[in-house]
Amino acid sequence: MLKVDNLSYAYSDKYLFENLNLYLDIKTITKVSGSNGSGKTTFLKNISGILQDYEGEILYLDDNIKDISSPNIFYAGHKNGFKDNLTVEENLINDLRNPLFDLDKIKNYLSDFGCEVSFSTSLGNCSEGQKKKILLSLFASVKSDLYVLDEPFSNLDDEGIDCLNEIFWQKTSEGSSIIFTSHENQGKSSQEINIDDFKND
Amino acid sequence: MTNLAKRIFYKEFVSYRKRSSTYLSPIVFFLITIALYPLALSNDPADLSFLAPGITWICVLLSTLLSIQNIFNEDFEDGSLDIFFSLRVSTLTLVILKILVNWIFSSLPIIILSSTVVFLLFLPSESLVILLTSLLLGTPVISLFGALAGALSLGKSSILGPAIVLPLSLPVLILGTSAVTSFLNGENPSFYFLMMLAIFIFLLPLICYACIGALRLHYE
Amino acid sequence: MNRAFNSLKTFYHKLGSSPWFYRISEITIPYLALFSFLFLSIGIVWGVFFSPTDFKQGDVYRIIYMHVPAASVSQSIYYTMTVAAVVSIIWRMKMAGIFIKSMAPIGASFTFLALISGSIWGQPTWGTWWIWDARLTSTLVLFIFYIAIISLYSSFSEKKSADQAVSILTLVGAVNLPIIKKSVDWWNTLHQPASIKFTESSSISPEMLYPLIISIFGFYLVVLLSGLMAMRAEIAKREINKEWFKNY
Repeated sequence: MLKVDNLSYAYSDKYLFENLNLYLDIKTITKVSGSNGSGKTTFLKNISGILQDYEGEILYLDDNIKDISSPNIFYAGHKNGFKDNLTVEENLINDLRNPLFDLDKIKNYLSDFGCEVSFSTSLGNCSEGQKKKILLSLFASVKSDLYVLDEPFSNLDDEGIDCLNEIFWQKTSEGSSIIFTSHENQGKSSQEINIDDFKND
Repeated sequence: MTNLAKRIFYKEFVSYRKRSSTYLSPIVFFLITIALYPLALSNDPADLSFLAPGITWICVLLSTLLSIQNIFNEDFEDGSLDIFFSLRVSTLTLVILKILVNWIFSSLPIIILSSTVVFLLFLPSESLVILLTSLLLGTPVISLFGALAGALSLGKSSILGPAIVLPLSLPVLILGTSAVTSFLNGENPSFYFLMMLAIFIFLLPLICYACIGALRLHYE
Repeated sequence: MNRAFNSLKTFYHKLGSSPWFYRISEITIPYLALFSFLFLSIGIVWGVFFSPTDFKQGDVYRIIYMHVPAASVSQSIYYTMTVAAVVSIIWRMKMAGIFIKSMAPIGASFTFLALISGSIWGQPTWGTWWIWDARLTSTLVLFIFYIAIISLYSSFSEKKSADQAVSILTLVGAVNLPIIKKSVDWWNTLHQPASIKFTESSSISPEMLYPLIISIFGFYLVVLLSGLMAMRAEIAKREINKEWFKNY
């Protein structure tokens, strides 16, 4: 579905990684590992179209990703994109990644994660773990072909980790592809790529 | 208006409305700076009446500047801007809508509040409508420049805001105050209004595209 | 005709190449230094010591041998930066970005010089250190823009982005500076200050004009000299790890 062809990214004249090749097929879970600061987040941002000054090509369904007007890609970064001064409900309804205003689905996933937070509390009053679970519930309820998640397992307790793995499995069996980063040994994946392998030191 | 544009507008609107400092800070700043002039210059009504259009305009300019500089900063810091770029939608829509919402919450209250200079600075009441119209036409231009300054210095606080916005706003400042003073001299101020409108229409696409380019620079 | 056009094209392409620029500038700088020193010293010494005393202003006017060139140069530098900004944005030419970065401090310095020398000239001549007419106000605004450009450049960690940001700012300034100048000018015609108009209306005699022209030319050479040196320094900073620079 998504083909990464000889991808290189330089920052301040130093290459973070060079000649990276990867194929994301449907129904696959790809894990991107690497040491801290190795370029995992940058790589994910390249795939999702946030950072576009890379060398090489990224093809989504055989079209260059720079030319596509609205690819079916869901991105959840390290920063969750929520506003602390809005309530949980307001954050979720107004999130641009959320095409439907279906809060019930998100509520169900949230309780699957074991998080019992009221939707009318201000997001600033939630803990980091709760915010993560809210973000992941959003992820779970949105239908997309490709999911790009940066450190989805961080700040999660064991219950959350199991639940997330379960959701990963569900989504890929429905035909999507997931790529995520993790610098710990969490998250089951069907293929793994290490950014450190593509450094030229 | 497309669905996405509506959602961006709504999200921005709700976010601004929830944080009362977005409209309270400019109001407080405006009132304080207005108060400085009589205390520092002269509290003679005749003097203040003559200076009123200029003082009002300066205070509106500074208050607007204060609030528009950080227009993109929050979205940059909490990751919303990242998400926006990942969705590959029109950055132009985002820029215009953000400037619009910011203007509604920061500039509009001040413009309405500036009616009080009829009492505070003894502005001749017959020229109030002219003053308000000049502010309505001029503050969007100030917002445009402020948005550009904010986009260029994204995430950092810098002197760029005042250094760019204030000199660039000199023309609308001159036109705005001249509209009021010429009206008080018996002339028709419509020339000034047309010029300000023309400046806005001319600068709107230019500065918006410059903003888009400037925002993109921080994603390299 | 075709050959001239082709050689112009090659020159343009060469300008974009830092190794070529570095080599050529190294050769030309000594000559530039010599000639700029010559022109500047001839112009200023002639003007200050040997040109006739002005009928109206006495000897004070001699400061124009510094003021007029500085003012002329401060504007021209901004024009060239505008052209470089366009090139940098459209073609992403690295040398254009280096040009803007190097010339901004030079432009700021000469604008400052123009402002100060203008003030010094104004006080005995027209009785005031400053007046808010179109020319002085827009020179002050120009100075502010130069400072803003320098400040903006330094706030970026990645040089390519810094080049683009500074190009955008330069262009916005270029578009708006004429508007600002016109509006202040027009404002002044409404509120005519009672004092004298700030035009060099007195026609200038040839004995005064020649040293002025030589001086202006000398200033331009100095700008070119310092510009080349500043660009060489910036190239060195950026290309320090490149092969061509290490083997230079």
